[in-house]
Amino acid sequence: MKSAKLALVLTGALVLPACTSTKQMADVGFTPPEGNYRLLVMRPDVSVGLLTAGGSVEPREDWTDQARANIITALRKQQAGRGGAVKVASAREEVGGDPAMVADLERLHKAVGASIARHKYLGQKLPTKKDRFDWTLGRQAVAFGAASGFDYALFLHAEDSFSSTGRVALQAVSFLGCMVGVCIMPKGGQRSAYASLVDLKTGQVVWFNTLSSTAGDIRTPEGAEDLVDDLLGRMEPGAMAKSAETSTQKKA
Amino acid sequence: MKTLPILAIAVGLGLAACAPTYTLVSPAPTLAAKGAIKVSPSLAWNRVPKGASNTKWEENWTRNGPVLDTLSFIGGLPDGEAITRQRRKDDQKVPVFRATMSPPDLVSMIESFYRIRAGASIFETTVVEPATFLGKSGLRFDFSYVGGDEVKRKGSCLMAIIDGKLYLMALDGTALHYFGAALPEFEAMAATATLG
Repeated sequence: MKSAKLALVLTGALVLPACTSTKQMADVGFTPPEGNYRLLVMRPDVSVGLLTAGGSVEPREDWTDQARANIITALRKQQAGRGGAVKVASAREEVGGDPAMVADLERLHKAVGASIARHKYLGQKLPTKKDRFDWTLGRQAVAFGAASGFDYALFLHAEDSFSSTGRVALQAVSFLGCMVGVCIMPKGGQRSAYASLVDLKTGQVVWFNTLSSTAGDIRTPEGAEDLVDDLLGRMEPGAMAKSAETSTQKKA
Repeated sequence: MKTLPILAIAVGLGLAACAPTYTLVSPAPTLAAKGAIKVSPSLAWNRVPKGASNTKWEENWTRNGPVLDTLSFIGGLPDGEAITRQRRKDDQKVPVFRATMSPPDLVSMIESFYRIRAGASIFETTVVEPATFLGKSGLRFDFSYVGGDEVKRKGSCLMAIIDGKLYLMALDGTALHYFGAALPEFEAMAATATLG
């Protein structure tokens, strides 16, 4: 039984080489915060689930809570070495201000993040934003910055999924199919994440990075640290809109 | 069983070639909805590619992405047709337009669309008043709603029934920022819109 499981895992590893890709964007003139800036890291928006044999993802609250806690710890550790006054919120109430307003701002950010992903990464380009990166959270973000005293807000969204035993078995069967010429390989668990930095003096999203990975496990402290490092480790300046688009790819 | 909304940020997957194409709408007099409505935008917009739910009488524009703001035109929808392409399941069908619809019927038709197809859990009508649209007597309908993604949004809709057909121009956007940012442009365009 043990060897059968091992064979399945090895098959998966052979078929799906683990790798991590990131691609960040920033508008013209962006420079990473330095000096005496005040940064608020919003409570990370995290969801982790089980990828079933049928391909749907069943959310797992215990995994999600564990992953969020690990990411918050990793964020605190990473930002401590950055300089500036940084507050990492583990709950919406810690952010300060009206919780309902903060919730609205978080939801707007999620919609803005989805728009940036669709129109800057997935090829559905908007002609009016061809050479620009100019999404905003608007006046509410500026008012929030004025009331809270923070210069920047950092948002992080992460989704992760892990294959069930049935899914792994399906992949193994599909791999055998490939050997006889019928190759439809179901995807395994994968992670996608994005982070954005919002200038609270203007409301503008000034920097954005995405991550796509089939490696690691954010339910563990090490996996969460890798995610945070990959996503936030090297914030590039935006000397020009085009050159600010930097991609990195690494094999795990 | 609920599925997670896995965000398809698949860097380097090469999906660009399959992606629908948005086209530029320049700030100049422009025909929309198959030439049925003529408007004069003062800003550049992006024409949203047709989707599976769009009827042939509909056209949509956006400035920052349809998730954030959408300007919709429906030009000359005939009696018996719906404002969106119908689905097979009965519980997904929206009311069809009738040339004899009263203002409350028209408002109800729009609200049903948002509840059934946009997943609006909360929908509130804020303004219903007579208005002139395309030089004819029509209706202005303002509303707010919360969709499936829990984002609060607002909408403003101008409608008129001309020769038994529905003409409509609407703005929909997030209540925080994007609706308000596009509203002056929408109102200016609607005020000067003419039949194409």
